[in-house]
Amino acid sequence: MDLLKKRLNIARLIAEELTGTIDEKDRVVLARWLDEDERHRGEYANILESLKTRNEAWKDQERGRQLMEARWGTVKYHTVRKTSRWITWSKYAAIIVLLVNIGIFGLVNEGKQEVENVTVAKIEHGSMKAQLVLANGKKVDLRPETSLQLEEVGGTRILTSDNRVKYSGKDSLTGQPAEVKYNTLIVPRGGEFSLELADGTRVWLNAESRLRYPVAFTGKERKVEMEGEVYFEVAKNKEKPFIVTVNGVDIRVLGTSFNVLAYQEDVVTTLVEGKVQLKKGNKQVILSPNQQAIWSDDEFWVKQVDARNFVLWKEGVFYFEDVDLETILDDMARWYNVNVFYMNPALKEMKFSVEIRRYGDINEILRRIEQTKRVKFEIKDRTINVYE
Amino acid sequence: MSAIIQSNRDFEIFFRENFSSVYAFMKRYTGDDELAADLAQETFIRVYERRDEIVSVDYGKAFLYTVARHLYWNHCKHQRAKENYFAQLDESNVDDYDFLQEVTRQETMRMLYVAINQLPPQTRNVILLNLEGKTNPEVAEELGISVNTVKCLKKSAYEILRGALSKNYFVILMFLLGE
Repeated sequence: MDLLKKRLNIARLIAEELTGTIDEKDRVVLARWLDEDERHRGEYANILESLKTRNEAWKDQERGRQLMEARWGTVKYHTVRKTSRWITWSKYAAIIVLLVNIGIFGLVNEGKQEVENVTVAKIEHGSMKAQLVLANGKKVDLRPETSLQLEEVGGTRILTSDNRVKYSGKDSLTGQPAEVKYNTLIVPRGGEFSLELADGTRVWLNAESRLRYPVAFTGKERKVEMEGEVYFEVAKNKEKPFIVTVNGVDIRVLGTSFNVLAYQEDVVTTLVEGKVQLKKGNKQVILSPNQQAIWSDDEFWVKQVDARNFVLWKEGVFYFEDVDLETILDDMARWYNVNVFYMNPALKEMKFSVEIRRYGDINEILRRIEQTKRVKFEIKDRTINVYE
Repeated sequence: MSAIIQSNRDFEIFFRENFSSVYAFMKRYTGDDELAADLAQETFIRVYERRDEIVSVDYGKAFLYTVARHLYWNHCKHQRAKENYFAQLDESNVDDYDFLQEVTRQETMRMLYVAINQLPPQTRNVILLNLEGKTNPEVAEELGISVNTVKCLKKSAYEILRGALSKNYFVILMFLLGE
């Protein structure tokens, strides 16, 4: 590094010398450098030589400038836009490196015996599970077998059974503008769950997602907030629009079915039927069935899709069509509750198409992708290592 | 010492300041326009991941070129493996001296390019012709101006060039353009 830093300084001195802006002290430094080695003088002569034909000298710099704008777009996409994500990533990477080190250390010390110990703990697929946070802050763990009957303040009854939570009771408390009570359903990594809200709207939450909603819809609007991935089948009610708020984007509907995916800053809304209006700040779009809107870089981008493919997850199917590896493995990581480590980050960009059941072994999907012969996977503990 | 790239804007300035020379560096090694741009792009993505380590402008640049060389190396390894299973990796074309020479060359060119582009058109012509090795009378004749005007324009260029070539240029740039 020091040698390189010295060279960077020399480059500056040469540029100063050539433009006549060098001072006496630096001129001595440059002269000494040129004196040091014949090759240095050769380099200097080369630079002078290529400056003689202007086009030759500046060609690459100029071309670099031309390419810069387009390339900044890509670099930006992979860097500053993902800041928060990279921080988490480097944290994971550090842990994985640590684990790998311990692994090697163990191997060296224990020799043969190690082989048995390495046998991986089986990775289970996700399952129906969630945590319900009541208005008073109390938390209730929900499992498929859980059957509960709760009563929220204001008389709303909460029934949990058959893998879903159902709210029923007085829909509006006439003449009594009571304070709105909220519940939150939290689905962890390796989980999914569904819910029926007080107005009859049905909601499916994918792994690592949450939904905050009022236990009764008393106002003029039905407002909920979400993170992660959620599929909505909104009960029709023309008087009370249903509004989903996610990453600052408002999705406004009357009665319709749509999927919202928002694990990162982007919000991807896919409309199955009906009509939705999306709004953020002064920007807005209206979607028709089989249209998808992506909120990204302060814009809505709309494209035509087969919407059914984007809601197959709630039918227990992983479906990816020409999707980059990073997106696929992020989704798997949430469902199987594993980590992913790329030996070469460039692999993240490779695109694959695959369709497979969610309630299967993780190896099924990995092997399917490996068949393309473009990547290889190895599972160590709870980490999928991705190789070329 | 604290990191010099604190905000997203700082990183963008760092990128805009250095992309063309990293591209030119890659272009010299690969001879392929598209590939050079891809590798240069990847260089910045990698450097971004470790931006916290960049505590000075010099260090930032040195780091940038080190990563660039590493990526080029990796690329070669994969290419060789693909093209010829038995081929020995020929390291001589990326030995240390060659690398240092290339960095020096590209940095010199980048600095000159950036500095000269800040000059008004006629002044820029004078300096460019000077760089081509032409004397003041030759420059005067080519541009159809007097030798005195040439001298005068050179004098006016001095301050701008000096500022643009200064060691603190990038720090000043960040201060002026940053948030």
